[in-house]
Amino acid sequence: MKTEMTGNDTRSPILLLLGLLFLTACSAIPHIIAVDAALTPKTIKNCETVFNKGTWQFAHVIEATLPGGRKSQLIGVTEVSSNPERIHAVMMTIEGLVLFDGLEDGKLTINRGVAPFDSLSFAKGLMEDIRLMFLDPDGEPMGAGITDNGFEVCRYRISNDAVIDVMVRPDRMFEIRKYENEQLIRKVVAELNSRSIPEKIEFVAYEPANYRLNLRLISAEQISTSE
Amino acid sequence: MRLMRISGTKWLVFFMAFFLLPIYSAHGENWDRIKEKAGNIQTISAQFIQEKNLEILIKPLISKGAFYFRAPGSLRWEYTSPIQSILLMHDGKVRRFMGSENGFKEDAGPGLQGMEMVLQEITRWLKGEFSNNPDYYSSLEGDNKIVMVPKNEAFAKIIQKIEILLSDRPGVIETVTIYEGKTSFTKIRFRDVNLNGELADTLFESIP
Repeated sequence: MKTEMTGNDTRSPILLLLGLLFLTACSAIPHIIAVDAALTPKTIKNCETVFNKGTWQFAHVIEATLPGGRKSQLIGVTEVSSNPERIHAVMMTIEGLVLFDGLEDGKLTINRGVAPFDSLSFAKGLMEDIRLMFLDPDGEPMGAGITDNGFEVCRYRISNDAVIDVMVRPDRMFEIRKYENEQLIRKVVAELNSRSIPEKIEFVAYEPANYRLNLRLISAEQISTSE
Repeated sequence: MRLMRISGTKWLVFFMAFFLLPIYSAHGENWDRIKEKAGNIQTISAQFIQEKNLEILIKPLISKGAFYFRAPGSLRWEYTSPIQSILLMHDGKVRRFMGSENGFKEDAGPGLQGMEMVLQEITRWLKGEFSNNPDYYSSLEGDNKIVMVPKNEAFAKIIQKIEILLSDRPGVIETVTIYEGKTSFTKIRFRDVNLNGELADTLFESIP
């Protein structure tokens, strides 16, 4: 069957593509396909393996793509404890100048901040991003199953308007997606090494500011195994 | 909580200060003699190991790289591990390249514009105008240690002091230690230092 395209039709694939791109960036919460109730605990357990338990110290090379497209390289040192939850984060230039040193242990403390890394809003956002990458979401999963792609997924409701999906892929990769008001605002894609530690992490923030962080692991040290 | 504001350019000027310090050998000599000696060195090349110590760190963070300088104002400061980054200064132009899996990308950020200031500062140091620097106090301790303390209050909150340890070889620096606090400091050890060797233009003009 032959189909004739009008001028408007010619634009349609482009509009469709743009529409798809828009939908990808602002995608709504996807449907979870339920699994057999007997398999749910196993799925949840697999989701939990994404996050290292105890206290760990990570050092990363960070390539940041900031709003406007400007790229910057930094070194990050992060100490995270799973129970009680505690985050100590240090960001420095490659020359070693500490730009930010902050602690979140129930209250947020900035030990050192060099402009523009000296604001409370920056510190708060950084701690939230680190929490998303390295710590189990609060509470029990509200659901577990598989995605349309066949990945195991656990869904956590962390507030009235925010949901986190943790997806375990069969290729030693995992994904974490955070939705707010049913729109995707953060995405983490990580590749695990042989020690089950994220070797490479790609972090994308969509809203309210759009930025991208690519983290490459320099070192990972387990400080304590206590829960 | 300590909040500090300081421009990136000003920090860079301060940081770059110790790149040029190998040209000043201060073995028991006064600043005038140092100034006199400064005229003798035209090029420097060296490997370096940078050791970052922080209270939080279980073990120091180690970075490695190479450093090249040619009078009057050509510089290449290159990190090779764990990050790849090259800073070039030549003919008054400053360029920074960031390494990635896909090769080097030029960082054309607005911060580089301020590097003209750095070049002016370097020119002053090359003339041996070291002790009268408006940004920090400099003193000689013993035969082989130069101590620099920022004059500016905002600087002093970020960098407490810089210590430069000179080697027995005239004109060669052994280590530079930058103290940000009692437990936070960066130590850079230079090795394979070569003075007045030939350094090609391409080293300062292109990457890698």
